[in-house]
Amino acid sequence: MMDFSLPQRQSIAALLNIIVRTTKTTLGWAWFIYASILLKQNNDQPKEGTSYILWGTVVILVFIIGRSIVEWLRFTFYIQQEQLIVNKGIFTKNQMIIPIEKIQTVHIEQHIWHRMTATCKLIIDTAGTNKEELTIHALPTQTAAAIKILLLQEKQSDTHFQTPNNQTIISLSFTDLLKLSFTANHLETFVIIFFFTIGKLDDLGKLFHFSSTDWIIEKSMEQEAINYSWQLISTGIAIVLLFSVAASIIRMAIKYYHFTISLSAKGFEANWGLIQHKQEIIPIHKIQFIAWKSNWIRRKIGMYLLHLKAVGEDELKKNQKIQIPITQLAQLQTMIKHYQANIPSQINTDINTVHRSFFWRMYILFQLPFLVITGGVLFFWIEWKALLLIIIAVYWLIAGLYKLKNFQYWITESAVKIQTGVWGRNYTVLNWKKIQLVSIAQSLYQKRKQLATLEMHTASGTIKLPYIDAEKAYFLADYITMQIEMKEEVQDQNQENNTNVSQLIP
Amino acid sequence: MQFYNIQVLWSDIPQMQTLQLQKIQPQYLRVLQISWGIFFAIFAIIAIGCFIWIEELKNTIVIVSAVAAYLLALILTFVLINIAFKTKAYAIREKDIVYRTGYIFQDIHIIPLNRIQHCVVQSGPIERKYHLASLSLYTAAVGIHDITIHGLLQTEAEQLREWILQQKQFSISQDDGL
Repeated sequence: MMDFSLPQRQSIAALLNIIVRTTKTTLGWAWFIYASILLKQNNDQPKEGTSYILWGTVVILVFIIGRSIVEWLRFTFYIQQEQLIVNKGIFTKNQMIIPIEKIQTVHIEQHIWHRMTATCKLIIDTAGTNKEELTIHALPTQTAAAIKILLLQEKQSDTHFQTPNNQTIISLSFTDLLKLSFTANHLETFVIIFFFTIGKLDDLGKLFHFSSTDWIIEKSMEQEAINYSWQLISTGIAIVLLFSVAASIIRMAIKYYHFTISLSAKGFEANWGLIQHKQEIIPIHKIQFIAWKSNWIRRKIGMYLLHLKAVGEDELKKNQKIQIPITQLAQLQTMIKHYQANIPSQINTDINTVHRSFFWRMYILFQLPFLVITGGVLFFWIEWKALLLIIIAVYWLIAGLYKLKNFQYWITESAVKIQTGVWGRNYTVLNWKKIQLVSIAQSLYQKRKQLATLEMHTASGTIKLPYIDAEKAYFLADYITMQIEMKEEVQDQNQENNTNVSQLIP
Repeated sequence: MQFYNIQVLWSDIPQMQTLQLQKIQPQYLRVLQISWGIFFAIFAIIAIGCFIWIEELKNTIVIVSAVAAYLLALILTFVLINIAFKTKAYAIREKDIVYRTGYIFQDIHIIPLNRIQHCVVQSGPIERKYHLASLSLYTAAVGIHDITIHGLLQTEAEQLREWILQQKQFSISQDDGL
């Protein structure tokens, strides 16, 4: 049994990690100096530049190693009186006290080098900050697991459901992995790679007094070279597009390799990742709402990405948020039923929609004027070609009408399900009990038209029902408030109730 | 096993629309006017400084348009302050607090007492001059961290804070939805 009441240090492997991190940060600014010295060194006296580099490297290495050792020595942590106490700091001593009850999630990550040294990274999150509260970069795997159990023990005690140990709900097969990889958003990867490449080329260009963006603009402006440059650009785009398809396939395959979700007494336990193995436990009572989405292709093959929006979820980095791939509808229902017994659309088929002005006002007041002004400005530059903007206007009209048509919601006594999307679909299920406060927002126009926007604020974000009947909004606000304020025992009695709340709306 | 299926009637649900909202203290309008007055005065001083020191701005058209824009903004702000002030109102119920604010974009917030994490009474120098204070109610909601009721009497705000804390402690469910 490990005694965490005594100060603990990170594994010695953490020292290596600190050295790598410090080196990375140091080289971030040092490489520019090195490159400048190398480029500007006097050809008559090349040794002078080399000796500067040599001495500079020695100084930097000593700094990196010294700083890393001090950082490793100064970092200690222990658990006392239900508090996690962390001492750290290089030049100034810094003590961080985290009450265990405030800890929302504990993540364990394992990169390849962690596996080689039998360690892992422990990330601790509370609901009070915009980033993870504490990261312990390398702990022996067993120690990390023991701390995780200890820190989450309090949380587990109030979990009121009993399940058999680690019942696997989702296990991604090779075919599922392939489907997921091929249906990824390749366009997004393309845009990321395109701008990343341009950015990096510009960084390098600064050294050689060359700007890739300027080059593209210049080439496209030259009338004689226009065909040549457009050919070159389109070939370049085709290559990058092909490369980005390959990259996004590889990215998804690496990310979702060996993805499993199992259910235990602690909650949903997720394990995933090839290079970086990650593990996360999401206590079910911490889930505020559940959302799932699919793009057009995935929808056709019945594949969705499920997102369990837990307390503090918004504060996590994008790559720490789990998106659970769903390949069968049964998996979705198994996951959701632990948060919300019935999906509202399954027990209440009354579809509610939003008012048409939800789209038309946006289109007429903002999108069309924007296109007219842009077209007017572009006319002076590309003349009648500016009329091509009509295509965008038509696209926005069609997309907007689809968006309006697809905005639907279903209400039951205990929850709401919302569907949105243009070509793909996004779904959200929210249990009334998870709402923190309700707001009704009305603009002057909405007031005149007897419309309102219902805002349901949770500890993991706000969900809106825009442009609905004002009377319905008031009824729902009153009803939700009653649900929140009702005592637990009354709520439990009513859980079995499947009343169609829509029928109550006057 | 007992099975409950109690019908909930629309008339049984406490309705917010029928609530008698209480207006905030009329002195708060004076606080708003003074605060905005100070803002416009500082802005005017900076603008006058710019017109004195920057040669390019010493142009009749520029000066006339700037003064016109300034006066328009000043009048519009003071008109809107007066209109918006009239919509600021609140109601205290046994289990929640309702607060209405805004005119062009009106918001009505219902804050259940069992969702309040903590509450703070605060007052600035101008508010103190009129014995006024604001009460901020904090919940765990992301994106709307606090709802602040302005224009309460200092004593009222403190009493309300104590009452909320008492209610939280003794009479209502401790479930905070987290």
